[in-house]
Amino acid sequence: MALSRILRSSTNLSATSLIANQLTRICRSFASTSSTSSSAASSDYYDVIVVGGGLVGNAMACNFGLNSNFQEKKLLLLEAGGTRSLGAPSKLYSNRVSAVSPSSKRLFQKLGIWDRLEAYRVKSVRQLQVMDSCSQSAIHFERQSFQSEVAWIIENDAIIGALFDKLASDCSKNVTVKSKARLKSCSLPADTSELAQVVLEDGSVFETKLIIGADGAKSKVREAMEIGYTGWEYGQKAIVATLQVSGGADNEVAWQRFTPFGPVAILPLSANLSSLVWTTSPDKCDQLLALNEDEFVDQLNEALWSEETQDSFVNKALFTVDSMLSTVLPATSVVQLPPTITGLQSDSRAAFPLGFGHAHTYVKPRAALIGDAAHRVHPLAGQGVNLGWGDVQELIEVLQKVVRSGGDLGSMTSLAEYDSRRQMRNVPTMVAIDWLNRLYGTNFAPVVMARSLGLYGVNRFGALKNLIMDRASA
Amino acid sequence: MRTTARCRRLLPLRADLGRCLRTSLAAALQRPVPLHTNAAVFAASFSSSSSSLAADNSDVVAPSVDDYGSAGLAPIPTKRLLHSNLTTPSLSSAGGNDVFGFPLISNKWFKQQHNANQLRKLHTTAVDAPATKLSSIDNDDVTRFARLSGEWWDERGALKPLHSLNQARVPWIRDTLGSRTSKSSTTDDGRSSLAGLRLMDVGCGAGVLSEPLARLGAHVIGLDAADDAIDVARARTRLDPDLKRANIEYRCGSVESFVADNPKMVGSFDAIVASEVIEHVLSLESFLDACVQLVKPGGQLFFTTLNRTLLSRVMAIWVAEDVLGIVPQGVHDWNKFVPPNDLAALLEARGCNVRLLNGLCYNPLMNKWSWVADTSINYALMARKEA
Ligand SMILES: Cc1cc2nc3c(=O)[nH]c(=O)nc-3n(C[C@H](O)[C@H](O)[C@H](O)COP(=O)(O)OP(=O)(O)OC[C@H]3O[C@@H](n4cnc5c(N)ncnc54)[C@H](O)[C@@H]3O)c2cc1C
Repeated sequence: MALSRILRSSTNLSATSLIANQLTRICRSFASTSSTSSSAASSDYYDVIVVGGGLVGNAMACNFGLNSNFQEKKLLLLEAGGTRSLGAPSKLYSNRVSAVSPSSKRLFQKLGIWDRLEAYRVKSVRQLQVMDSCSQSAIHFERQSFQSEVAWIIENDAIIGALFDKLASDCSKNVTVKSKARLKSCSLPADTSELAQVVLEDGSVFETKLIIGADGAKSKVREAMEIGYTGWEYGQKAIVATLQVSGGADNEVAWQRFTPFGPVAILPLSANLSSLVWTTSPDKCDQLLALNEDEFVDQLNEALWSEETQDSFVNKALFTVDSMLSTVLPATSVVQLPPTITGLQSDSRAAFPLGFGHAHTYVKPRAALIGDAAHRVHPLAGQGVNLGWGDVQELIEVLQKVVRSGGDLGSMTSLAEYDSRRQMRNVPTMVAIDWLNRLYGTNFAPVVMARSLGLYGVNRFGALKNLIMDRASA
Repeated sequence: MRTTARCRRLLPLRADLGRCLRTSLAAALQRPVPLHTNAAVFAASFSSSSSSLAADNSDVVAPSVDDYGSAGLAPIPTKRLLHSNLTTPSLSSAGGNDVFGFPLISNKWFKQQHNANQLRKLHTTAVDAPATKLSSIDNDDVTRFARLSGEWWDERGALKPLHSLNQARVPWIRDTLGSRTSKSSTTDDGRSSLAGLRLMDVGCGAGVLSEPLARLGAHVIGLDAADDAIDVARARTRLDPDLKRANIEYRCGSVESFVADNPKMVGSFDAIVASEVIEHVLSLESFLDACVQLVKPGGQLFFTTLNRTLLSRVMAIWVAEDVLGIVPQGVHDWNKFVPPNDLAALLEARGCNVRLLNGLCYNPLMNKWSWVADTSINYALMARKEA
């Protein structure tokens, strides 16, 4: 197999291609004779294998399992870690939460897990408020009617648990979940005349028509695809924590504030709890984590309320963004003040390095990438996993068309459609988020805001961008 | 038939054409089956022009020209275009091709049309030429073909447009046939929408269209003259778990000989599909005779092919003379392209009623086919055999 792949990579040299093809054939026939001895039985064949049972991979498996088009297809979900069912809400909130966008909510409703999540705990956000640290200028967004929400904050574990339970209860016919199953390697054929193969760390081997890589930013599937990838570390870290807050009446506003130490996001979890995502430099991060809880809270309040970092240039730029955005989204006249942080929920602090990543293509014959495996963005806009769930919906859309017209699930003709549609959606958002981070971050914005900013152009903000970058790494 | 007679007269030309063969001649020699090679197809190009086709059918109502846009029959001065550097067609992607200066259509489009045409050359069938031993076999061409047969399933390669054509023609066939079956519960999601139907895919190549039809539940017989292509198709039925379960079999040969060899199957098919094939057959009439014989009374015949128009002619000159470099000057495959009116008349003469006629348009940038009213290049036609 490996030999045939090496050989195939040289087939573009026409002089060697014939020999290569023939050797490939020999390899192939060898492979097929050896697999008949172990019998390529249905037990080690799945129509689709999803690698990675995180937020995105589980949603993919669940969507597949429930879709009537795939009832005769078999899917295998491989997850390196364990799987956990959604029990009763724990007393403590998890420090890993996601801001779920309206379109992702619709996906959850379609998958039949939304009610379950709401019964568990979901905090709706009615307003997003983006502020410069100096608060001279504030942008906030809300739906036209105050009744409707702009996002929902849900713990990651709850989402994964609900998806896992759904898989177990409603999808056991066509979805198999294997936990503690780490992918070791996979081999992809040059075209659909062979199946793709997956090897796990325990040595087991599976064959499939389509490998879906949902294995996160360090995706092994992506590696095996041998595709172009642009990635960098931001030299920033995100501290997450669960905060006790007071101030906002119902705590229904999500805050983003640019501070001297990077953007701070405060996402409501309940009437008096919020989740923190504080982007800062690695040094500052280490300092902050070393502080005791009270000192940390003081630092955070200071960062949120401090007036000493006023920068008129930044203010002006922010004002420009504001007026531009007000044409897209109506601004409210009520400027709310950010909540006061009163404490930490036990010690819930943790830190994650931040980076950017972009796979130049999401597909190869018999392989497709979804979620962070395909694209990794700065968390400041709360878009990361929502992009991934968008991938899931588009890929399902394409695959169901394949099934309905009798095609091969790993067919490049259809996968290319998924690729171009998603790249078209994801790339502008990713670029916008990247610019936002470089500017002064922030927002939580609906995609429309990111796009508006993106269109407004990096040139316009070029000087500012540099300024912000300096500030961010200060 | 006069066509056949003419063809016989022209057979010596094959010797000259031997150099140009790009299909599996070696295999053809090993088998006692009639030769269904491109030699015959190209020989046919000499023998039957549009006018001879029409003349052969003088007993049927002559199709009124131009209802379907088959204008543009005004002769185009034959001239060699600048593609001599492509004597060995490169099937790999982009670059290298010099630009044919047609202002409206990109070079890439031509390239893809060329690729599609090259593919068609691989699965010509129904050419029931007298079995003459071929004297000159170009081993280069045989190996080149062997290489191409490995490209059948490279969806980004030579056959890219053929693969994406499935996105238009499979739903077309599925919905047209599916609407006849009453199993509405299963057709909801389209999975087994063709269950219980017997189909023949004539000129199936390596099964690009047969496979999806079989996956949708039909019992499919794929028939093609090129046995390399059939080998590839058969290999896939052993590899693909869907196809292992599906009801699909491949036969090598022409549709005429299939009828002769399988009298029991006459009148047994719910539908015959001949997609991107009839523009290559030596005698369209005997081809259609056989197809109509195979289908049940009330059964359907599906065709997709190229019209014979100015636009398709430009393509054919470019493709046949300049890219492939296999057709002698002044003789174009284009002459075998079939205007929808002609096809309709031939079918009506065989007791079939044309029910559907639509144009197909290829967008090379998106690799997407769409249905259009204009049938001047590619079109799809469905006829029903009288019950
Ligand atoms: C601090 C922070 C805050 C964030 N906040 C938000 C937010 O508010 N809103 C939002 O939309 N996004 C947010 N994101 C981004 C979001 O977390 C990611 O986009 C999301 O987790 C991506 O999900 P995924 O399933 O694609 O990948 P992952 O979550 O990385 O999951 C990958 C899974 O694959 C498994 N895996 C990996 N390798 C293998 C292997 N070899 N074999 C088998 N299994 C394997 C892993 O165990 C894991 O379960 C945030 C990110 C960070 C760092």
